[in-house]
Amino acid sequence: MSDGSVALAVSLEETPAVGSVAAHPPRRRLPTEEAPWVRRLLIGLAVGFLALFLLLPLITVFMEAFRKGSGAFLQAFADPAALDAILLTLVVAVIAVPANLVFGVAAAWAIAKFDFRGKAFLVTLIDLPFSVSPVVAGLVYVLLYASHGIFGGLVQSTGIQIIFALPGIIMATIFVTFPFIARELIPLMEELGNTDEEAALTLGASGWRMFWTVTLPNVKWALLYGVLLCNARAMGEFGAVSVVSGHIRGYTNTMPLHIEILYNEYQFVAAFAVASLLAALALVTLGIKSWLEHRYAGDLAAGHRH
Amino acid sequence: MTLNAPFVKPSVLPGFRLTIIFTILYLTAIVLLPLGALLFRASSLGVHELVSLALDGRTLSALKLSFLTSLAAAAFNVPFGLLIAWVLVRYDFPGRRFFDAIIDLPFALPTAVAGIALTALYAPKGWIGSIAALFGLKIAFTPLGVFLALVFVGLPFIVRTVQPVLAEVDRELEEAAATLGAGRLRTVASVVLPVLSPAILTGFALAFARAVGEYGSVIFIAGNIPYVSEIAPLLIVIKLEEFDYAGATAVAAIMLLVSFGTLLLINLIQARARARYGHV
Amino acid sequence: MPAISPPATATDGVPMELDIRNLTKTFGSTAALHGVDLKVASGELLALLGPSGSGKTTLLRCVAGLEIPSGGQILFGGEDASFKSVQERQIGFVFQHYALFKHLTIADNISYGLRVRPRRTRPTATAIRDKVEELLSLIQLPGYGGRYPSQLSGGQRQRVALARALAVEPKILLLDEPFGALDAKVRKELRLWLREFHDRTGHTTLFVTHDQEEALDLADRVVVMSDGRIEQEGTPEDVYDRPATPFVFDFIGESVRLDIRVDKGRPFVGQQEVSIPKLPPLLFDGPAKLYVRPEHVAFRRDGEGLWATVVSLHRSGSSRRIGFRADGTDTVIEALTPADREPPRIGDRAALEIRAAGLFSG
Repeated sequence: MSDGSVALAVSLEETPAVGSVAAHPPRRRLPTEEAPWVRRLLIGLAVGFLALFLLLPLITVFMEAFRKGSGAFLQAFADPAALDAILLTLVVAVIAVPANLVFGVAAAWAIAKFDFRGKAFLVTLIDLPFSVSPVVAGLVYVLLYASHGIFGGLVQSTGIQIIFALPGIIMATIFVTFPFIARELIPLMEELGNTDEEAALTLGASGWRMFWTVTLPNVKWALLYGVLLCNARAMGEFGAVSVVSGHIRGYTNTMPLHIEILYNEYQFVAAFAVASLLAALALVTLGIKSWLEHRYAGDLAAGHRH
Repeated sequence: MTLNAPFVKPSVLPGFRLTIIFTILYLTAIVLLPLGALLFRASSLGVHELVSLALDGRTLSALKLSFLTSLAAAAFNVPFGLLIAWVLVRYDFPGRRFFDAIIDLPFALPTAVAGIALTALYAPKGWIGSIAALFGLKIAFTPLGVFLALVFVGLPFIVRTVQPVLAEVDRELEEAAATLGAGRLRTVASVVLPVLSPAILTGFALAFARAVGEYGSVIFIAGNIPYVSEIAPLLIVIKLEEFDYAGATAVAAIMLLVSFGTLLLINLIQARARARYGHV
Repeated sequence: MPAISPPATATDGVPMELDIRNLTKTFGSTAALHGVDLKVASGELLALLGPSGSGKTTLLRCVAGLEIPSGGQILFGGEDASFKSVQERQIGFVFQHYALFKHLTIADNISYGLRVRPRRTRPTATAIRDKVEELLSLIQLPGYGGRYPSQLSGGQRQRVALARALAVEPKILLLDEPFGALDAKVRKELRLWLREFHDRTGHTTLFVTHDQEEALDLADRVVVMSDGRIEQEGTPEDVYDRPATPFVFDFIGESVRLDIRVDKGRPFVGQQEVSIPKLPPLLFDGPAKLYVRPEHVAFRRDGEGLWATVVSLHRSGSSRRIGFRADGTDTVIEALTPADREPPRIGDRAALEIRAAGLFSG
């Protein structure tokens, strides 16, 4: 440490940058970037693959539906069987989706907010329908409730028909679609943690009030997306419903089953017309999902697995 | 809450009992009971019977077709799924958001709708089918058609499992490899891909499991000729219609085994990746 | 070190010198570097010191080739490397968060640079193995080759990162806040270790830090940066004892800033003239800033000096700080005294003597 040394600098007002920018050749690429031609090639390949495998089938639905003009398109819906099918599909959705909503919220609450033994097993159970063939899903209900089934006698004695009737269709649909809402909520609620709810409790809120005013608002977009997806799948479920429904025209045909019947009868335009409704629903679902992700990316996130 | 004290960690938050009981009841009614029925039925058949039913010629052909086409489709989806994930994560281009959203189409579109659309497309008079016919190639109603339909079905699985992992890859790793002298291709192959491999495997397994059980997207394009182009799920439906519950159960049991096996495998992959890298 | 066949553009084993000329870098509309000039001598250990946003990391990355400058030149040993790719520059880079390849063993990490070489210049497997062993000894982690990064502590990982960078015998070593991710104790240990390491191996080394203690302790020369410009470069003593700009005074060491007036060439605090020994004649009048370090402030109970009142007493460790407010100012000037000396009381008056200071107009 020296003493008596004094630094004296004259006015240090901002001096503008001295020296011009040297003439530079066009920007070279960063080491973590690919050459432009590579980039273009890869993009082209990816887009080409997607167009070929995803877009073409989608476009086909609408092309085939309108192949004979809008007149023929609308004819498809004049058929009472078609209207019955649409009605049945809506009924199934209106029952299955809210039921799954309640389940999803309840399961997410139990799993995300508490620590308990057997949690991993429970989560695996919820993931199950994703790895089971829909036909197997339908089969297990037949094994249970058909007249030769395990509960067959029991069911017959009550007079309620399950297989080949609405209850069976609803149950099979629920089996295949119940995970969606739960799986949207669980990772998000786990990530959000318990602090918000605990804060609400310390401020005197009751359990229900805390739930409605704190928990739900935090997950509302994920919930919305889960419901949309659940609904799209509930309306579109084919394999499981096909097995339990018995294909009884006008009574147990949902829209997908109706499409199958029309197609097998070579009524292609009608089949695609009905199909186009479901395709439009799928597009709306995807559109809303895209918008949600764009706007509320953070609120949805946390381990977005399907 | 003395009942729950050893079972659940005490918490100030309410509602555990209510929600867990409801959840368990719901799952029991919807999942456990029906699956239990299947296991009960399968076990009452006895292993010997099960095996002989499973090894029946027609069943074997159906299983072979389902498994092989599913494996092939999932494998085919790996490089393309990887490519698509890369392009969506690393590059920006007009329409990127649109293509990102459309990846989920096979997921949101009803399988029956996909089924008839794919058939119309690949049938001899369809857009692609007619081009293929010029080369003497028949797609619809052959295993090739099944394969292409399963490619459609499985694509989102690979892309969506790889995407988030790729997005999280630390650019510094690539920079580090570059400072050490690795060229771009070498860097991607030796530094980025290994990080992605658990996700790729998981995506492959998910796509495979989904494809094996796929019904609606495939039965229209499959041809459904016994021993030739009949898929396993269809076999189950046919046996049910013939009231051959035992046969249907046998095939279903095998498919269930495959499903569980795949689920287990995925969990193992993820556990191992977590241990090794501290993430999935 | 065992001989490894050197890469195509061989050096003669002498550490490289670095010449940065008028380097500019803009990101979009923000300029990160404004025409920076810097020469780094062969074998020197140089610190780029500054707060975040000063451009020090950008400068380092431009030298590495990880960023592309908007203007200017970078010369390695007289050779223009401005357009060379990262791979061609043969630099060694150590990242703040190590950037180790988690899926590879320590040995594979260290040997990575050697293994990706084209067949022509790639060493044999045995040579690679020997080199890895040698480097592991050098970084004092012998036998760790088979482990994975996740099994190592932060400090160990950083050493492995260093070994990895050294394996390719780089011309220049670049370290980006190498100890930033480590806790204080490990940081100090590694600092000592790095100095000794550098003395032993002698690479030209550039490292970036925002920790002035680290820079002053470790480096042969310090370059203080702010807002994309070099404020001062010099030895640690230069920079500490003879700060050239208000920024450096502020950033390095402790100081207090007094707003003063220069009248007829003499500095005034409030109404009192300040006498500072060895002050050269001041050629300007008007407002000015006086920077004083606590260790340069002495006080007496009476006599000549800058009269002030004691406003605070603060004991820290083995010294005591006494805060004085000089008549006519609001700023508190701190003086540093040994703790065992009897302190004045709050409210007491004293005459301050300023032994050294920096004076800047404006």
